[in-house]
Amino acid sequence: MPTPAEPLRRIYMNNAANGWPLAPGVAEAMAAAAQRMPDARTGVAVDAAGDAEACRASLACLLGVADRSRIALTAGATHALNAVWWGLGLKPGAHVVTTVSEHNSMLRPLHHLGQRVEGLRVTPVGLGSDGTVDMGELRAALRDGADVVALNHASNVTGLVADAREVFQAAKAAGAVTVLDACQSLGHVPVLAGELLADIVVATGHKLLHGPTGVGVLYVSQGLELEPWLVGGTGARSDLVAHPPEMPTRLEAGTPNAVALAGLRAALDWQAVRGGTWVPEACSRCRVLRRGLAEIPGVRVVGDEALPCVMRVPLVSFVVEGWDPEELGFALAESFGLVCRTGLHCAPLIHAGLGTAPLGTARFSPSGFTDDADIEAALEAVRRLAG
Amino acid sequence: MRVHTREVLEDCVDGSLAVRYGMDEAWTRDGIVALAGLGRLEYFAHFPRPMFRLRTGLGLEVKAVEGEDTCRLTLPRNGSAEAERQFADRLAGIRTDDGTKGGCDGSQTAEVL
Repeated sequence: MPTPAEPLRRIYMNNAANGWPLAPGVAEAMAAAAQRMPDARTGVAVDAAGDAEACRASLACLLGVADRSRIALTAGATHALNAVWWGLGLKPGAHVVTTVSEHNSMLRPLHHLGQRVEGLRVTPVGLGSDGTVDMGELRAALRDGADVVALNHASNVTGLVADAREVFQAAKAAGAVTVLDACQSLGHVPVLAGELLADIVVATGHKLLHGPTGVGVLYVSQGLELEPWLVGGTGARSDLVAHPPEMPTRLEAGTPNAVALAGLRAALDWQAVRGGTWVPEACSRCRVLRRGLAEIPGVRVVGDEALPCVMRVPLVSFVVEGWDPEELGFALAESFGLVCRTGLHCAPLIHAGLGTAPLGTARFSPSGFTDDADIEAALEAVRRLAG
Repeated sequence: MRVHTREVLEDCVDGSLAVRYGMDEAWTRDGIVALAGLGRLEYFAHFPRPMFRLRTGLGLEVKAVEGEDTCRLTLPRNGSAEAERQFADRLAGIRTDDGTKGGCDGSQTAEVL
């Protein structure tokens, strides 16, 4: 009889998609939340409100904002970005400037909005010589005037972090509202909303924060109000026919995901204690990985041409001669036990500028939980595949 | 070898059809070698879990791990039915009940069959 394939040690290298394992304490916090008796009035666990407020407090520190009520907790970053685009009240003929680095969670709601707002113009600015935003092209786009400038802070394909302050300075000079997608940066690089001139910041709990899926972050600066995209029950003010207007309730309709909030709180608490050493470890291991991949004949590391001073989050995309990315992913996973992502990474526009269209890349994204043996195993696997 | 299940997979890239077959038995070296002649067959016996990839003359791409009872197909945009039928017919003609196990012969490169 044919013998079954030898079991492999699985090595997880896909933290840019979903941080794994969950930060210590997260699973336990979620299990405890799942066991809590719901409050008779709100229908959610008694401590859920406490978890939400604790999350807001931690996020306010991370975002450098004084008023935690300006932070709404959503069902995810996609939910938050839909709230942004549908809530900004863009008029016919509005102009949105964005970039080719954007994720589909930004691009698709914009596309959908474009089918409903007559004459909506969306200008995606290309990559500059540093691999982030072409500032010349951005300024040219802004000369036409812009209502919104939306920016992916850190590319989930290249790992490069854009100079958001420089982009948003130009945006502000043109009178635009600024939207920052910090899904791939929050937890690893500073995301101080005021410093970066970001009116709106969106993030998620399940990537670099190593929290659970099902929870997103939507910060809206004082003085800017989004029209609620989703209205309904709030567990309070049942006498009101209209949805309560004050933040964060304004953008938090429906029963909150109490279990996920408990998990996010635990993740944020852990990050506050360990983030200072854990984050540099992830970046250090990714540097080793990037350099090692670049030395393998037949391997091209994407975005490696970036200037050394450009900040990066811990991920590296690459292509291997003779292997389609999808095949590469199959081989890495099934023959070598390496779990990574391949393809376009939900960022379809960036690949033309990177020379990786139409098939995309393979992507390793280690974390602070990835150890040196994992890095060496990844490099050895790619050496064998390239050889 | 016979196909027991056919599962359509969601592909990230270009919407091309990706399919996973569940087979009635696991792949052996003999079973893999029997696919030669359908196109370009590469057998990576030196990988920790040996695998193969096949590109048929009709544009079908097949990958599988030796010892597993599944394989992954990427169908061509045109002529996918014919390409898949050709592969399924070849599978039906493969007999792997001699228990032969493949594996590495010491070489560190792919064997092109």
